[in-house]
Formats: sequence, structure tokens, C-alpha cells
Amino acid sequence: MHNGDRAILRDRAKKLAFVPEPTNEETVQVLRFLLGTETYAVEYAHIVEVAPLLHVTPLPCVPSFVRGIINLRGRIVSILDLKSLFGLPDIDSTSTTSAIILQSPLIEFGLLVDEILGMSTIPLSGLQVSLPTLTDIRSEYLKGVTAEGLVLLDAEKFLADKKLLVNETVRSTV
Amino acid sequence: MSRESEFLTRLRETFKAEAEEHRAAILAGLLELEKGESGKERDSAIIEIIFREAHSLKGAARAVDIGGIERLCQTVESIFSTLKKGNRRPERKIFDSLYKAMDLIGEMTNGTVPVSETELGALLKLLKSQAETESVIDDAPRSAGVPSRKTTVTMPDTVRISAKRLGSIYLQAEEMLSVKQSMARHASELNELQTLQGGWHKSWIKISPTIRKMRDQSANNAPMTKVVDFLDSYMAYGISVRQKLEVMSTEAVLDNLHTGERVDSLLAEIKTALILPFSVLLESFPRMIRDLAVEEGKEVLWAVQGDDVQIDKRVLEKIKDPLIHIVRNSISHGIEKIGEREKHGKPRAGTISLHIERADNDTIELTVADDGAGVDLTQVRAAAVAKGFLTDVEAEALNDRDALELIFLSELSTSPLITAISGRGLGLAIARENIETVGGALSVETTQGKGTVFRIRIPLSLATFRGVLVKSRDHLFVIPTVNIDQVLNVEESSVVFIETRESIPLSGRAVSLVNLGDVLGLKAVPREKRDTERFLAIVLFVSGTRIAYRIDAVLGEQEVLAKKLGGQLIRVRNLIGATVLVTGEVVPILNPYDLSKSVPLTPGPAPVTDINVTSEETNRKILVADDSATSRMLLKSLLESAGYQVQTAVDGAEAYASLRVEKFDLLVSDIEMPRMNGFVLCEKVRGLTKTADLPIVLVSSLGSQEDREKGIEAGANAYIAKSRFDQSNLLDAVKRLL
Repeated sequence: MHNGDRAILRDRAKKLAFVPEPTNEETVQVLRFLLGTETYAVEYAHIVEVAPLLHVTPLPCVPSFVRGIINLRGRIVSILDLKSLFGLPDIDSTSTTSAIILQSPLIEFGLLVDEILGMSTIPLSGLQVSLPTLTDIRSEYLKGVTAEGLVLLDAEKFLADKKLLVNETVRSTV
Repeated sequence: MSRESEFLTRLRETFKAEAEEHRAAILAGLLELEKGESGKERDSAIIEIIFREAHSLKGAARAVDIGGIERLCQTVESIFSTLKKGNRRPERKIFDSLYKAMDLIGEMTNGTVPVSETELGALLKLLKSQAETESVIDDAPRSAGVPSRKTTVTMPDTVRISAKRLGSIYLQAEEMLSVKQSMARHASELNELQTLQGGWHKSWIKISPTIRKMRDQSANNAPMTKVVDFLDSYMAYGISVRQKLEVMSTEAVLDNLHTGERVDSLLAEIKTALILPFSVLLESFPRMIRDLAVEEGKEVLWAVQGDDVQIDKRVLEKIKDPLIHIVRNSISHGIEKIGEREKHGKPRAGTISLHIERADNDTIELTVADDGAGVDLTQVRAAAVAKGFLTDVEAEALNDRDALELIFLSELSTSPLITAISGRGLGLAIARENIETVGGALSVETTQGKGTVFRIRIPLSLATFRGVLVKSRDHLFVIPTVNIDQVLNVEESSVVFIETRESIPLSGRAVSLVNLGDVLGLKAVPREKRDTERFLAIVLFVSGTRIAYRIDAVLGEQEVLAKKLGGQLIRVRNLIGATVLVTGEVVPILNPYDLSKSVPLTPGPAPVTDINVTSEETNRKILVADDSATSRMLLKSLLESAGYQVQTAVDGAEAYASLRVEKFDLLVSDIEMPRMNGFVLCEKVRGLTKTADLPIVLVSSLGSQEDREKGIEAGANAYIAKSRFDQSNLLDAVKRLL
């Protein structure tokens, strides 16, 4: 059985196994995915779609975290490599099959992931806001960590981060 | 109807349409202003708009002799002029009168209801009195709504649509191009499938007699009968697929044809909606020119020809700044002061003329000519030397055309040392860049004392362009065809080293050669052993300079639709955008302008000069120093066949002795020689006043980097390795140096 399906079934089983207390606790829907060996998640609300990655065109003269561009129904969308951005070892990049497309009114890009694991609903109150073991750059985009160790990334911070923009002009070398 | 009244009727119709536009703009402005939600900055922009619109409407009304409208507009104009100067918003109560004025203008325009002089006079008086009390900052509560208009609303023939909206419609229509391309792909795929199926069908036909025979023989064999039955039905199935496929394929071809046509005509239609006459751009020019001329104490006449040429609005926007800059430049640096002009017997007022014309189907050529002093090339050369771009010798050796190109160097004029031509360089560099980013070109010609001519060539429209698909290190790129000078199949042996840099001779000039992959920072890929004698180079012409790029393959030329790289990649060095091939593959489009800046260009020790084989060369005298008799012979005959006078020396010492007593135009010397080697000879020659500037070409089998540098250090102008030695190299070098 596919990992993603199994995860979904496991989630369902969990939910059915106990009756949740009728609280008005705030929850958030997330999409879980694998980066290397670690499990991450992004809030579902900021995801436009998950695009299969058949071919990414690499670009010259861009920072290493820009994996390349894809054609998404006529639009060119850039694909960011989180592993490169987070300084994670680039293992298993051949199995990369999907990009999570994030969008705000101003910007749109895809996050390269190794595997989509599935959807979850996690309570906001259970989030631990910081984790000392995370590197600086990751903590910058961190929304929180669940009790199970799921790292929830902050899509809004990704979308708003000016550091991720490439806007380079050329000075003459003459 | 008489011709005259027919004309008047047409004129009235034109005026009506125009007046409606102005009136609508004023009304829209008034509404927004009255709402008062836009903030101070926007408010003053609106006030400016209303002021201009009223002014334009006034002029139009005067032309058709409708005095009432003229007077109303005059009043509105002066009200908004006052507001503009005082940087204020209009007071609440005046809005009603302004709306009333617009209503009246509407009535007078349509001529439906006669407007009485009393009504008009009263309104004018009211407006004026309200304008006079117009001084208090208005905080009064706003009246709700707009007074209703008496006039019946007629549907106008034209509507205003924001440029942004139109642009977005255009972009979406442009997306249809990929639909067209993919339709073509589907059609060809279906066709392929049909061919494939055709092959299958043929083999069936071939085998069918055998199957028939099998049927005859299988009468008593049940399993065999079953198989034969199956084969028959399979055949029937295959035929029905074949028929279906045929129909689909034909339909796809037709659909492709129709869709293609419709997409093309849709795009063409929308393009025309984005097309404006050039005159729109020039509205502000007379004023700007007058003001600047006054400032500079000059008199300037402005003459325009061909401003009715139509051009894509987006190109027009891009061309505006460069054109303004070039005109300002002509006023400041081209046209002389009045006294100066009179001294040279020129008319007091200088003339700057702009000529616009369609150069061909998709290009417009603009010529900006002034009758001023022309560019002082001596001054330009001096500035380049002062800035350290060139040495004295190099500047001197530069021909006039190349010297003039120096004015486009961005750093040239920024130095305080060269105030005489300051302002020229930086702006012109930017002007050229702006023009080139829309696929145009800027060139200049000048005649000392007579004037300067700037030529701008720009495409009529943007978006799709022709591009050449090239491959470098397993990556595909598109290069805009407009920037491509030529594609060459170059012999490896014809590469010349100037200093440490490679170059290839191209119609008498040394053109820098770089590997496209290196410029783009692509990882070198291990290459299978193949023909290493030759390589492909694509020569790009940008900013007046040619640069050759080594590439691995040219895959063809095609129509390219440029797309942006998405919101995250706002501007990437060396890239314009990307395009999607019919195969669905995404390919980056290179920015030739960036590329040229990324390539380190050294003028090289040998200033490149244009060569024209003229009879002058027969008089040039060359000294050849080489210890090998064969080499001497070879060099002598080679140079003599090119028309030079040649004298030989057996070593450095003999050559030096000859140089002391005789006059030569150039020295070609070997390096390894007894008594005095080539390096020492070089140094000695440079030490001698008489020969300090003598061009020297070193020729040697020593091909190492170190030796090349040593040769340059010793004062040689060119260094040609014997291993790369072929006739044209030496001749090129000699021609360039003489």
C-alpha cells in the first residue's frame, strides 16, 4: 500500500478510535510531506495545488535553492529546493515527484518535496513554537512543532520573504 | 451635400467623439475628487488630469467654433490651474457647478437642446465667484450623490479602457498561442500514430492470404478455428480503429488550421487596439525642448516628420525615456550657444529634427538629427584615456567610428575630469540598454561642426519574436534572432590569443570568443571524443560590439513567446524569461545585453581597427626578424603577397641595427633567436624614441601563457603562437596594427 494512503487510513483510524472532547480548540489543516528523512507540513490554506514534477528546467545564474522552472498550464513557476535552503543533505533527489505550489497575490512558487504524505488536522494549541535543534534558516520559516515532532512550516513567511526573491542586475565588467 | 458641408459634418462628428472622451475623463475625475477617498497625491494627479482635459477640450471646441464650450472650458481650466498651483482640493460647493458645466458642454456638443446665452452666462458667473472664494480647506459634510443630468445618455462609439486592462486582455490572448502550438503538436502526433497504424495494416494485408489458407485447413481443428476467427475479428477491429484515426487526424489538421487562423486574427485585432500614433508620445516634447533651450541660453527649433506612424503602446512606453534623453542630449551637447553658432555662420536657432518612418514590416526607424557642433572625438578619446579605458596609444589608434562608440560607455562621463562631455555617457548607455531590451538598436553618426545623428531602430510590437534554439553543455537556450550577427563553424586553429583571452578574426576585426557555458556558469560536462578541429560559435551583436560564444549545437529558429519567470524570479542575470517549446519543454531565453556585460572585454594590446585593403599598404614597410631561413622566406612571401614591402633580419641584433637606421611601419619577430631574442628586441625597440610606438608582432612556437605575458610585458602589440599560426592570423594582426 502506498505510504500516503496508509497515513491517511492511520489518521482516520485514530480519529475514529476515540471521541474527541467537544472543545472549541483551534485546529489547522496541513499537508504533510517528506524532505529527505524528515517529515514537514505546510498549512493547507496557502497551497494552490500539488503539481507532479516530470521535468524541471534548471536555470543558470540563480541561487542554488532555485531548482528551476516548470510550466504550469501556461504559467512559468519557479521551484525552490527546501533541502538546499535548509542545508539538508541532498539524498534521494531522484525520487522527487511533486512540488507544492504556494501562492499569494504577489508571488507564486513551488516547494520541491520528496514525497507527499497526506493531510492532517492539527490543533494549534499543541504547537511548540521553537525547537533549538533546528538550524537558523529553518527556524525562520517555522510555525511550530507538534508533539509528534511534525515540523509545521509557515507558508506566509515563505511567501513574504524578500530574501527568497531573485532580482539581479548586471554591472559591466569592463 | 456640398463638399464643404460634408467636411464640416465629418469634423463635427469627430469633435463629438473627442469631446465625449474629454468630458467623460473630466467627469470621472470630478467624481473621484468629490468622493475624496484617494489621498492627497492622487488628488493632485486628478486635478492635473482635469486641467489638461479641459485645456484639450477648449482647443477642440475652438477648432469647430463652439464658443460656449470654449468659454466654459476656459473657466474650468483656470479653476483647476489655481488649484494645481495652490496644491489644494476644490471646495465642496463648486462641484455642483462643475457638474452643471459638464452637462451644458454635453448638450452643446450634441446640439440636441439649444443652450441659452443667459444660462451659460449665469453658470460662468457662478463658477467664477465660487472659484474666488475657493480658499478654505473644505471639511463640510459631503452631499450625497451627483446631481442628475438632464441630457439623455447616448451610447458612445468609443469607450475608454485602462491600458492595464487592455494589457491583461492581450496577455491572455497571447496565451492562445500556446494553444495553437499544442494543437499543431496534437495534429502531428495523430499523424504519426496514423503512420504507425498504417504499418500495422500493411503487415495484416500481407499475412491475410496465409490466414485465409489457415481457415481452409482448420475445418476440423476447433482451437485453430477459434484462433483464425479471433484474427479475423482483430483485423476488423484494427480497420475500424484505422478509420476512426483517419477521421480524427483529418479533423485535427482542420481544427489546427482554423484555431491557428482565429488565434492569429484575434491577436492581430488586440494588437491593433494597443497601437497608437507616435504623436501621442511627442505631446510634451515642444514644451520640454523650449524650457531646456531657454535654460541653456540657446534657441532650438523642433521639427517632426512622420509622427502619424502607428506603434505598439508598450514599445512606445519603452522608447519614451531614451528618446527624451537623446533629445535633451542634443540640446545640451549638440546645439551650440547662439554666439557660437553665429560665429560659424550658422542660423541663430539650432534645429533638432525627428524623423519617424516604417523601416520595414515590423521595424520603425527614428532619426534624431541636430545641426550642432558634432561630437568632439578628440575630447572623447581624451576622456577615455583619463578614465583609464584606453592608453594614449590605443586611443590614438582607434578609428573614428570606434571612438564615437565610446560615448555609450556608461562610466565615461561620470568623471569630473571631463565635464565638457559629461551627461552624455551615462544617459546614453542607459538609453541604449532600454532600446535594446525591446529588441531595438541605437547608433550614432557625427560630423564635426555639422551635427550629430542618432538612429533608433525599434520593433513595432513586442511579445513574440524569432529566436534561435541553441545547446550549451546539455542545456537548451533561446537567443533572440535580432541580436544574432552570424553563426560560424570555426577552425580551432584560427583562435587567436590576445593577452589571455581568446578571439577569432571576423571580417578584419578580432572578436572576443568565450564559452557560453562559462559565461552562464554551467558545469562542464564530459564530452565524448569528437571532431575537435572545429567548433560552433554564435556571434551576438549588442551595443555596437560583437562577441562570439562557443556553443555545442544550433537546433533551429522559431517563433518564441516570452514568458516571465514568475513572481519569485523578478530578474535573473543573463535571462529575459522563458518560453515553452511545442514539446512542452521549458527553455530559458538569454539576455544578450547581460551576456555582453558578463564577458570581460579588454580592448587588448592591439586596438582593433577596421581594415580596408587599399593601395596604401603597398607603401608599408615591414621588418621580419627570424633566425630560420625557411621561416624568413615564408613570412616574407606571405607579407609581400599581401602587398607589403618586406625586409628581413637573421636575428634580433641585426633587426635592431636596421631599425636604428631605417624607418619601418611594423616589426614581425621570432622569439628564440641567437645574439638577441625577441623579448629583448622588443624592449630595446620600445626604449628607442624613434621606434617607441612601432607596432610589434611576436611570432613563436612558445605557446605558453607565461611567454605570452612576457611578450606583452616586453611591449609587443600582438602575440601569435606558431602552433596556431596560419596565414590569415598574421595578416589580420598586421592589418589591424597598421
